[in-house]
Amino acid sequence: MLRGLYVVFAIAIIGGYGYAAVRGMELPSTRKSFAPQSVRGAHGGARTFWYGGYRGGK
Amino acid sequence: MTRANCPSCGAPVEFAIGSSAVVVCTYCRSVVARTDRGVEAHGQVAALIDTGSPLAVGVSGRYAGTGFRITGRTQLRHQAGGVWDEWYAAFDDGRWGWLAEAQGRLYVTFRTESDAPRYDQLDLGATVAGLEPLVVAELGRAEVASAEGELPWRPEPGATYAYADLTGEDRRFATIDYSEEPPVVFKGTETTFSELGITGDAARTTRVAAATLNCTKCGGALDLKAPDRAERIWCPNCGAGHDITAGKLKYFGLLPKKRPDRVIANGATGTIDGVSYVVAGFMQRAVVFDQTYYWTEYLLYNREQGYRWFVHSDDHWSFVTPLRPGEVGDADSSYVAKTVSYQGKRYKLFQVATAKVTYVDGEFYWRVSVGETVDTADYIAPPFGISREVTTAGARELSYSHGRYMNPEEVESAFGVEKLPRPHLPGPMQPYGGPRLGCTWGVMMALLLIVAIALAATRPNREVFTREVDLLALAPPEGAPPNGRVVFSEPFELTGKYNVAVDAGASVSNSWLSVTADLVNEATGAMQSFDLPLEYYSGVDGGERWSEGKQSRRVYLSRPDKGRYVLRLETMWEEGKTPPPLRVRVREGVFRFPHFAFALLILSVFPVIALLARASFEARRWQESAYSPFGQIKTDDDDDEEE
Repeated sequence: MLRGLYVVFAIAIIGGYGYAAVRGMELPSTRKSFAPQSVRGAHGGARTFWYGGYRGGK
Repeated sequence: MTRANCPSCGAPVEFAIGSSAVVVCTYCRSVVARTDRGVEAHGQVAALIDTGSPLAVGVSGRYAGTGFRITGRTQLRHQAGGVWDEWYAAFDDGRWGWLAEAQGRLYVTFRTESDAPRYDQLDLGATVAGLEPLVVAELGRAEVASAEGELPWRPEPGATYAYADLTGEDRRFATIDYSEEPPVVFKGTETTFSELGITGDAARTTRVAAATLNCTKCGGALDLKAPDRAERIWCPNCGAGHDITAGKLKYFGLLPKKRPDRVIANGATGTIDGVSYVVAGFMQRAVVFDQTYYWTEYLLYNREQGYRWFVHSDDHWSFVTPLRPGEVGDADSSYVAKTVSYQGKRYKLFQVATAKVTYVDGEFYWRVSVGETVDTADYIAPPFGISREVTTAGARELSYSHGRYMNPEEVESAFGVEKLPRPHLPGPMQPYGGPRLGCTWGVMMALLLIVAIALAATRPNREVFTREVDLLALAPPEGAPPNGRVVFSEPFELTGKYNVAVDAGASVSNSWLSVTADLVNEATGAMQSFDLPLEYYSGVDGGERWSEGKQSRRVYLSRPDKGRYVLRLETMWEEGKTPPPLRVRVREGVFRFPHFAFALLILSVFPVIALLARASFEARRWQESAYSPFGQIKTDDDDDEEE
């Protein structure tokens, strides 16, 4: 009984590990945000923004 | 064939076998020997004791394809008081052999020319040169009690001689007869009546006139379960003990009045492994260590299987089958070995003690009595055990038995008893009831390893961007402090199939370099921001080197969408210091060993818990042993003694 449960648990762990690796999944370690097209499309684009993110844009 | 008249009574006697030395007159029981001058009488032998054997003078059979005919018998008395028969058989191929019948076992042996050591050189359990791998199972003295028919030697009633019985695997058997000088070695095998083509079940019941006798003291009924084999019986009513000799009861003593608790009555029947057994006898035995430990044993009997034991100790039960000493691999059988083997399994020594019979009732196949002692050594390989017993009173006998643990539920089911108490401590032979995940864990580890190897082999680990930046060579952006710079990578493509690893490194020393990165999708503007702080400090304090921090950092990002990306790095270094070159590398499809290690760890948690639980169980099991592999476990009593 317990052995069967362990087998189910282990297969779930191995399957989950394999699935996550194949899908390229990682634990969240980044902050997600968005740079508007006005910034990215400006002359110099994203290269103009400075501390704390972008600034300016046309 | 030689015919003559008995010199004592004149009755006709016949020497049918050319090599026979004597014939016992069937009328007056005189031993008639033939000489070159005729026949001579050499005294009389006592009347034979009816042993209920299906064998008899004149009976024919076959052994290993060769026919034989029984021509005579000697009846020998054991030091323990019982008698056994040795039948003299003429084989069709001209050989002579002996059929020895004792305690329900039958042996066929043939005289050999092998040399034998002196009797005092023999040791129980030891091998004998020329007879290996057989081991000495019994050393004793036999007394000639009676004889009949034609015999190759002249029996002298009352004469005693030493003998040694040896047994081995595959039912091999040998006996050394010290009645002659030099001693004679007989070799053969244990066999059965059916193998000899002899069916004599009807005859076996004739040993006692009736299976039910009456106690000589109280007149109560004594119901014999194995009338053909029982040597001693105790009255269940008054406790009077009787020897069973020639179908008659002979009183010899009373049982103690205090009787131990029992859960199965004599006469009860039960089925174990599909075989029906009747409880023939009951005994209590004890060993003395720091205190006296008692246990009880039920003697079971089945006509085909013979005797078995049901052992009850501390609410644990085991079903015990006798073994032949040669079947047990006992490397140091002349003494108590640390391990023995049986059928490929290794058994560890659990306890050595001298066991004493403290109570007995019912019927037994040997003349057991209260006070009888044997030296025991118990070996275990749960759920099995091997018990080694050495009897030193009278004949010295080495015997082994094999036990199998039985749950109380099995016992209840087998004998129809109810509510047997459950054990609260592990028994010596009790198997661990918890999960054994070792093999399953191994399989799962192998599976995990296969998955990990497959992943490692298929992750491309592709470098999509790498650069070393001299930060001071860059102009500070507008409004930025003098110790800050912003770096943009060249655009690079990500396939959108794999994870991404971003590495940053710089040879900072007793300084820091802060790097905040943005991975920007040029098409959608989606950004993932993360920090890569680099700092490293080291020095010598109190004569010891120390260091802290890291000169490189790595961040893993979940699979980003397929597209074209740039990496923006916002850097700042310690004011007044010169920043070292910053190395940046971006890869996709990186194998993550820590994830594998984490999965391995998670998979191992339950097996480790199960292993610890089992180790705890084993430690408690061996707590009662002086040979614990866990070492001697200290108890509160020990502490008290030290104080």
